[in-house]
Amino acid sequence: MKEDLMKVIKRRRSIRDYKDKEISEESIKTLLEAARWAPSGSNIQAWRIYVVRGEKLESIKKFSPGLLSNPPVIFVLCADVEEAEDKGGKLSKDVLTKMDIAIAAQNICLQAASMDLGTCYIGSFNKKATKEILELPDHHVPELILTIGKPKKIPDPPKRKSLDELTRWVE
Amino acid sequence: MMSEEDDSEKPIFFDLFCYMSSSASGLVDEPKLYGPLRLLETMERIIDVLEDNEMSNEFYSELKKEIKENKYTVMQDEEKFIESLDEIVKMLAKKEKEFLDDR
Repeated sequence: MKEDLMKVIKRRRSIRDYKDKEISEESIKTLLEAARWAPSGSNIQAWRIYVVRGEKLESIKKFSPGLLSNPPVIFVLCADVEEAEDKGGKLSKDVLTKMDIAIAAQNICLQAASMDLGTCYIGSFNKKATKEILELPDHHVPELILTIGKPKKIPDPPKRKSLDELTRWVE
Repeated sequence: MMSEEDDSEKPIFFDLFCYMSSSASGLVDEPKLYGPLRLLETMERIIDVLEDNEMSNEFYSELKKEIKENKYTVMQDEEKFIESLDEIVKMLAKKEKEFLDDR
């Protein structure tokens, strides 16, 4: 079981070229369910996911320099800053909710990889334009976009730093 | 990549201006090498518009191919990405030389 998860972790790539194929609603719901089970600071779960397809997706793409691919669906992961501050204070609003969003996103990416779907984190997008196009309430702040689709090709893994460089063992 | 021909009501270059203004805004806080990347992407998108309006040519198609093949190296191999920038300038300089020679 441990090996299986590691295989999925190592198989996941950032996909920037997708097949022109829709993703079923059932698959989308499975990915959202994976996000729902992510841990969050104080279990506040102050994040919201907008599932965006069709014309709205095309409009968001125009204001997202980092979104160069052609995914059939994107998830716009937002912080509910009102809920975060109400329940978790400044720490939750400024820091932890963003971490929670990243954790939920990784759950989605790994679940997607296990379903042979591709994903890519997009940080280069214009938040104001995204808010405008999706008509988001003021307290929903877009933090991250995930593209999702059937990969056209799986790129080679990029270089990884060694464990020696990345870690320190302290006793 | 980005076609503008399907939307006849939209002024030409509108989508490109959305992209360029968002890039300008984002680049204030983004990695330094994303500047060259956004400029290359802009070139590619201008060629797309030229193609949509039947104003492109073989040389621009080659230029677009070179950009598409190498732009993502910015995230995997910086050295290779910088080499590809030089390669694109070289392609244009060679073409400029041909124009000069034809005069």
